[in-house]
Amino acid sequence: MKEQPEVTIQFQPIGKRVQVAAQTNLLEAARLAGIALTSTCGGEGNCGQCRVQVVSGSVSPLTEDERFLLGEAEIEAGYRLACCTRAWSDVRLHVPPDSLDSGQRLQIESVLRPIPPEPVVQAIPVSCPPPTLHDPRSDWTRLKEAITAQSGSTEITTSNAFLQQLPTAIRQLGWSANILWRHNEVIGLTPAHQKLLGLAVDLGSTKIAATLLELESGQVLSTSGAPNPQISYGEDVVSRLAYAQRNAAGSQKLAELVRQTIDELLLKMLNKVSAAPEQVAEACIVGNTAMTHLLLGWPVRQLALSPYVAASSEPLEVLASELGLRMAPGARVYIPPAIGGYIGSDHIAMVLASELDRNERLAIGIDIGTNTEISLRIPGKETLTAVSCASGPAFEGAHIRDGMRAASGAIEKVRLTPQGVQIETVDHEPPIGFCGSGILDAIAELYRAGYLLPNGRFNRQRLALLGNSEPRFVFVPADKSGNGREIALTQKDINEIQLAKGAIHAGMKILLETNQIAPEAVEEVIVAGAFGSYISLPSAVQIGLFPPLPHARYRQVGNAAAIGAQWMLLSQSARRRAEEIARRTHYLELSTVPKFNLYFAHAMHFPVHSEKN
Amino acid sequence: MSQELIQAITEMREEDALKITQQMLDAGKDPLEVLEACRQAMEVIGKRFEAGDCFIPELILAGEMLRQVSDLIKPRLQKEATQKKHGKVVIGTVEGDIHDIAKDIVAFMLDVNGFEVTDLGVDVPPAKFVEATKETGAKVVALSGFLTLAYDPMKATVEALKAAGLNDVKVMIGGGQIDEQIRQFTGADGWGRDAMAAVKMANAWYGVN
Repeated sequence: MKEQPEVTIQFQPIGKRVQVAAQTNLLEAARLAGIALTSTCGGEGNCGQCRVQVVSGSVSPLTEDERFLLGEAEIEAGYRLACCTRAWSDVRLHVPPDSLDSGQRLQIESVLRPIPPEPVVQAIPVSCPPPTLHDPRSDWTRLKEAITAQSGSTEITTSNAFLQQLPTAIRQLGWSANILWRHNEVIGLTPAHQKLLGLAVDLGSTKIAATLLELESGQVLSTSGAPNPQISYGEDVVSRLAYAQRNAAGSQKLAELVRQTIDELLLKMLNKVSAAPEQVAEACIVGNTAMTHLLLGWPVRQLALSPYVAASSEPLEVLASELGLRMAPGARVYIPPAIGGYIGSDHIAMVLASELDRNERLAIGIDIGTNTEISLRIPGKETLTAVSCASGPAFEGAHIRDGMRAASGAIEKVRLTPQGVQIETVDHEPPIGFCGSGILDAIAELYRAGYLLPNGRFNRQRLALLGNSEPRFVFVPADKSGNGREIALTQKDINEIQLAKGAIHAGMKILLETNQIAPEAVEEVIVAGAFGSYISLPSAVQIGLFPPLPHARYRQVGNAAAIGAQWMLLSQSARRRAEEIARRTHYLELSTVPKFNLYFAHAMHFPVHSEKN
Repeated sequence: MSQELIQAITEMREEDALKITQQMLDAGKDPLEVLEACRQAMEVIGKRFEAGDCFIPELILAGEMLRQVSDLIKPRLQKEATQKKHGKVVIGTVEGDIHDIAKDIVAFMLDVNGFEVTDLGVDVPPAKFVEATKETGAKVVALSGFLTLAYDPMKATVEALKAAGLNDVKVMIGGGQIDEQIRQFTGADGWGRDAMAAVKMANAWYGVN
């Protein structure tokens, strides 16, 4: 292949420049410049999110995808899709704020109870005499004998990682220190007075939530969060799996990105509380099965293709150093068990922390995301049943024309009143798009007010009154929005939400029916996760996402998966219980239920409410 | 009565559609007349779908209704009386993918539009497509795939058909995010966004007006 000359790509108003070979596409150039452009489809030319404006320079001609996805006015103004555009010369670009993937609101709080700590790592104070010419025992032998003298243990092991640090550390500490003791293994060494810390991580496909805790007291010292950096390689999990598989170094790249982010979050929290990495004795990371595979560097092909088999769904303890996490030298990361290819350790963590497995009432636990997991608990019955619904990323704002994640300026609440449209945005910034809870509200309101028919079509007579030529409902006109573009819901957007809520509703129905439970018999619905915590329940019931139960039966618990990760970090019995939940949960594969498609079809319609709830 | 049946189907009134069918049969109407009404009803629904006036649920529900209607009339259909078909189509979801909804809709729309459809189901390996195409003598093969990862098996299936000497067989692909670029990648002859596009392609390839 002919060598391409180098060109410079300049990104404004961020002011970043990057040198790339001519013919490089602009999305790749942005990645190289460290600019995270939103790209739901991972650069396939399908989502239309990576809009950039070419200010100067020569680029490849418009593609068909771009003509399809960009408006005429935008094309006129020089807007392009970064993934479809190749640089032919030096290029200067303007990046509009809504193409930037940052400033996302990260939900990290919860209402669930703390757990009594019972950590797997203990600090044992030891001191030993310094070596002399008459006592030249090795450092390790000396330490081991001191431990035996202190604790009575004789079976003591360690790792090379610890021995690499031992001679320097023990001398710095003056032969008197706390050893970090984990199942007869010495994994680290800290000054005698220092507390042991632990790291709990909820590794989501859109965001990563990390918490630093004190292992002995269970006290939360600091929390931190970041968007999952893999987003630039595809917003939905399947796009990322495809990337990992297509590109030679792809899965390594995705693993590194996420490991680095977790390490950075940890370091940030340590700095905040003035602690050292050596104090961090243990970690627990939960995530869906795909995220866990990508974190651990496991092959993903067999996971992405039918019959969707995980490399392992057993619990695992892996060396923190192997994941590039700066912790105590021999520290481990606990990866909880999963249930099959579709239900990950994050759902186990959610069941654990919301105590669904011990609920005395007939209860379901639901965590809404790109895949929505639902578990059913029947009191007195040994097994829980779980389903996974392919709800898609619509509730996260993806595949929606004016959709976005819950960042500044996202419309999160909508009311239609006789006075007109009322909206609330994240951070009270001027509106630039809808996040999931806003879309849900908007559709519920359109349906309530008669703009949408039960089959999800716009009521064209009602729309005509508003002077719209194409079927869409404008919530914010261009001159009132934060980015000069109107914010509307189109028929296609409604379709996407119908698909999402239809999948969830049908999944829930089959879950209940298979267990011979009538929907009204459900005594408690535990709603977990970011989207589930912000949505308005009346809106969710209005469009038929949730069954029409009295609102008192719903409990929104926040990020239960993150709390579950903390529990498993802190407590060995929580780990045993998680392992028991995994064993006791029966996975029901929806695609093998013949009635699924029909239920799905019915569930896509909006319910006709006979009475108000 | 045909009109009533068409109306019942297009308005998704499943019970009425079955009742009217039974009445038509009891009154000694030609089963082919019932089938023709079904075809016309599907044409209406197909047009509404294209215009955005209905969506996937209607296609699935109509498909289910028509399955039940044809179960009712099948025993009365004499072999020689069956409609003349335009041609044969082999369809399936490619290896590694189990998504069936879109595939079922396409198979069904091809069927009611006068094609003899052999549906191989989901997760179909290339060899099975080759075998069925040879066996039926179909000149059109339709590959469905929802996952991005379905593109490789699509390409493999197109190659397998060529390798088996089935060079005059046309292949269409559809599902999920497929576009012209993917068509080129897989080597297929055509692609479409929905079931109506599939019918148009099959019509064009078989020279149906």
